[in-house]
Amino acid sequence: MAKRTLVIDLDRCSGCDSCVVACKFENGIGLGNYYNHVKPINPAGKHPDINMYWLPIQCQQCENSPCVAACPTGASYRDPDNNVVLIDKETCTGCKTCLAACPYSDPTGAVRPSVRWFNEELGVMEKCTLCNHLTATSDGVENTEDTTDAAHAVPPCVHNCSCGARSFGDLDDPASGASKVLAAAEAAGRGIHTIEAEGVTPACKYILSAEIADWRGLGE
Amino acid sequence: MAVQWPIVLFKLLAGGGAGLLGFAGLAALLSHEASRPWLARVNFAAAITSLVLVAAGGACVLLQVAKPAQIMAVVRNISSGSPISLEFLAFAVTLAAGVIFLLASRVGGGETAGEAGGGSAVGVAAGETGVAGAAAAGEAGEVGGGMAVKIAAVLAIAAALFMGFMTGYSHMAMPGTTAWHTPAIPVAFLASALLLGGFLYLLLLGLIRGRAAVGGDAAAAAAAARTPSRDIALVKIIAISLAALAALTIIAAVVYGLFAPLGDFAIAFWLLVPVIGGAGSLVAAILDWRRPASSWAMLGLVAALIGACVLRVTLWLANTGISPLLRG
Ligand code: SF4
Ligand code: SF4
Ligand code: SF4
Repeated sequence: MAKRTLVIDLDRCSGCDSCVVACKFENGIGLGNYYNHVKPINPAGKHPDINMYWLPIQCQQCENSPCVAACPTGASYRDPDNNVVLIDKETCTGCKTCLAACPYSDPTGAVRPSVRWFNEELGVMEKCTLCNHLTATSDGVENTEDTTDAAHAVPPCVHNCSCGARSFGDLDDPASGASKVLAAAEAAGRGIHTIEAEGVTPACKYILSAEIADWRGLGE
Repeated sequence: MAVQWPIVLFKLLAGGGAGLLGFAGLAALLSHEASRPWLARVNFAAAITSLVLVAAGGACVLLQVAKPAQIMAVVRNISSGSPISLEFLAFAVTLAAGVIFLLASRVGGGETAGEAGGGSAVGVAAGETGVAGAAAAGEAGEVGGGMAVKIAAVLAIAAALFMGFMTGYSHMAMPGTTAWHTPAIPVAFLASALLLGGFLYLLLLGLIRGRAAVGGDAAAAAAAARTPSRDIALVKIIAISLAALAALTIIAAVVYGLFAPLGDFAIAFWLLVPVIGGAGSLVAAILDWRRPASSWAMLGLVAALIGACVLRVTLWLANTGISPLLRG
């Protein structure tokens, strides 16, 4: 079963929000809403040994996807071909059950940004799609000669990341872009983390070296 | 956290309505033959009230969903086993059990058949028609209807338990929502929904039996007068069941309160759910058991309603999870 996700290198992330802009542009997301956002995890430690990092957050592509399990209509589903967690906006009734089921989202929709959020205009739920409309068959190793090459396409947030912090691919395929980055980080002994939450196993991975900052998850 | 009021209302109305149906079923099972004619009237009224409450709860859900026209997708997806699908199934089962109970009460209970014949119109003529119809249908009904009522009663009780439990289970079953991840929620929701239904049933019983006794319906009044001790026994059994349910509500609410991140809402929760809703209902049920009176049932209903409402609201007021940490 494919485990497609983003892998984000926090040693490289500068908090520039290019990924946010690229995502909003690609997916036509209006003011005040986001499929992804970047949270500064506040400085910790004592001067001069202070450390901080930037944490880009979007759907974590949980392996057990409680949002899919909770949806009463089947609108929240996994792509039968590549297992990506998606929302079928035609079927979605806008009941917000999945908001309560996703631990990375505000159960009422009042808090923004939230991984899942309710699109009042359309009356449907929204979230990061891993840009499946571009990447459904891609291995995540970008063809820089032809960025529209579907076999190697990456999401715009990955392509436009100004620091090369983001990678994409199937973690069950060792040849995918994300798997290669992860394997290199592992070989170098760098820290590999997930944003932990009870009841889910997020597929999304974050790389953070101990000499850059201490991993503090979502911070305080 | 913004409270999802349509969902709170659904859980109160559908849970309480199902509880009412369950107690009508219990009374039908426990009833003495002589009190059956007037009890059938109570149960007829209880089934109608229950159906109205459960349907009104369902209507509230339409206020929650952004695209009500798309609601059939829930029906198509019922086999997914999602917690909300199961809750929807419980809703449908409760409505069906209500209709079956209603029909069975009309077949098996002479008075109710009479009521159907005479309508609910006031006036001597209508009343007489009703009594005549009751007598005829009552005799026929007792032969073929007794078993039907019993089966419908068991169905009604099962539906009440299923609905009450599912209104809480649908929250508990969301693995990613830590604050809801306790079996105390479905237990507290079930117990408090049954409490609402039980007190409502006692009120209806007092209202209809009282009316029969003052001459609205001669046959019913006569039947009631013949078996006062059995009627009292029935009320006492219901009251003692309500006392047990109130105790269960207190225990489940305390477990949930200790589990949930109540924060600023703690004082309101402890005061309104286990104390007013739980202990208040317990006292009212015990008083009704010792000396049956509609005023105790009314007191119990108000206390149970306050507790049940605040318990359900707490789901949202004490559930932040990690979402506040998501803010940039
Ligand atoms: S992060 Fe939320 S929306 Fe994404 S897969 Fe997990 S539960 Fe579903
Ligand atoms: S809001 Fe849409 S996607 Fe979410 S649970 Fe309801 S129907 Fe499913
Ligand atoms: S993968 Fe696509 S939808 Fe998801 S954050 Fe990146 S650009 Fe946005």
